[in-house]
Amino acid sequence: MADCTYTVPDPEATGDALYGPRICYQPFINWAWPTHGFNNSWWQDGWGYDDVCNIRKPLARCLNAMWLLTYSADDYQNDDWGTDALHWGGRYVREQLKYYDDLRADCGDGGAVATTTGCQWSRQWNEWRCTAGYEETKRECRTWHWLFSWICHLYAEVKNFVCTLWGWVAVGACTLWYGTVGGGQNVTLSLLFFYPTGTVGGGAVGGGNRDVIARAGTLIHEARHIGDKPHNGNFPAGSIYGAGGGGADSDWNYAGAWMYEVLYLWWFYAAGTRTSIAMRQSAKQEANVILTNAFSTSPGFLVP
Amino acid sequence: MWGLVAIVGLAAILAAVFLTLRRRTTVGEVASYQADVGPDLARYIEVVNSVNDRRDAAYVQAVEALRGSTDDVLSDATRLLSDESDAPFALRHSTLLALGAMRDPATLDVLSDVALNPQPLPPRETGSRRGPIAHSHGAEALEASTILALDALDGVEALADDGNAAALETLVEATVVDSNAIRAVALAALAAKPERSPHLERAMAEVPEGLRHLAQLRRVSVEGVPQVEDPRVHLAGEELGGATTPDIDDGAPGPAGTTAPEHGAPPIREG
Repeated sequence: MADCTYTVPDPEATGDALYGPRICYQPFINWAWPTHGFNNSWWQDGWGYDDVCNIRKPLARCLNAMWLLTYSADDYQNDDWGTDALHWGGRYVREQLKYYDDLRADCGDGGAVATTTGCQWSRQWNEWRCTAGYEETKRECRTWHWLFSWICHLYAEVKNFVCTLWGWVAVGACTLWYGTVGGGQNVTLSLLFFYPTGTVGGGAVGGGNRDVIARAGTLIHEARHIGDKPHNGNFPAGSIYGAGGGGADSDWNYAGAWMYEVLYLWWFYAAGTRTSIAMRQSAKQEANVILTNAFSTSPGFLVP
Repeated sequence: MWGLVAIVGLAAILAAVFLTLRRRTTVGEVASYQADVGPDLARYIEVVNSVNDRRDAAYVQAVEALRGSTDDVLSDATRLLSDESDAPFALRHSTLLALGAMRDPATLDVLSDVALNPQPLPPRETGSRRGPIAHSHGAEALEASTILALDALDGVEALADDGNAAALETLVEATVVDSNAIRAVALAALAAKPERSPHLERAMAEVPEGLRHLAQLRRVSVEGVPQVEDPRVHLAGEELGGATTPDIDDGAPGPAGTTAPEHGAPPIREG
């Protein structure tokens, strides 16, 4: 008896029938496997390693999303960082997943569609918390009288030093933990990443949208978390994600995981190629749901 | 004495390793959902999920066919989109796109029902209202039902654009639905045309104080919003690079088995 089970929705309507024949190409699979950091042993036992072209199985459904991320720009060979999210989105996902080099599939608990486990939470101290705190204190110092402002500036330097030091200690301890007994830094895609409904531990789970573009959006979102940016705000009033609860991005300019996800969905809707009308419409609506529910301070715009 | 400490320490480390090791799980398919719809709706679903341009001849023909069988399409759509239906998200999404594409006032009732009453999709949770959501990524069901409501709202707005007064009233009604996204999109639709300002004013009178900002959201093009200037600064480590992206023949499937598996990648099964 399997630990979890799934029901396969109409593969045409989820986009899998469109992308499935495209991923069934050994050079693509040979390229996608190492560049996305797949961990072989986590894709056995029904997850699709032995039947990679079968779009009813999880692995092919994941590769469909990766194909979409790779080839949806008209000139897909141009994935320069100076272009737009449609062009560099797939490259960003590859860079981040490869950094952990441990992409897994797992039943999950029926809640999260994906989890990123690793030291991104401790790395963020050095990457932005210390810097942001330092700049904030410096701004505050400029409002002090010049006779005393040097004390404030000195305090900012000491605080930044301690913060950075703490960051390094935290990163060191975390890396040691995951490198030894912590099971490795990884991204784990759960059953609900691949399918809208199923069972985990005997209980029915799901009810969501897991079409190919939704999966691609999730990969962008998780990749941004690896890039040292946790959620830093509370969900706004009326949010479907739980008003007042943690997990939101403070605002658009924070450039967090929600912003990355929306930006990709939006560009895909506006300029995505080698896809379908249904996929692009799904991207548009999902972007609007996130824009109105996942930012503490509203970005102020909608996808038309 | 020290030997005993060493043994206990080693046992503790081994126990910690054992406890933190995650067991790999197994998975299996139990069922698949088979859509039971008429030929014209089935054809539209096939086309809307395979072509990328509404000017495509296949798409134009599929919409024409839908318009020629309104009763059958409405019957199928009503069944698929009902509260009792076990149709998954993607099929509902395509069906709503079909209704929207028809631009037929006869579709308004079904579209309004979906837009104004977003319902969680199967498997449904117990209780009339969903409780607090423990994890931000776990709100999939609410997200999906909201996306479908927005699909429906697009269809309603298209009818309002065609001059349908009832559709315009539905947009006003949508501004009081307990959903940020539905409210915001309906308000933006009302704000989109100057002649709708009386409707917008009426709608604004019903929007709670704390959600008034939703009326300020504007529809803009993606080029008009702040972009990520250099994603490289958001990488976790040094840029790793990697093998060049394989060329494709513009979406055409590649010949299976043209090369052997490499880098531990799974082989394509012949046959």
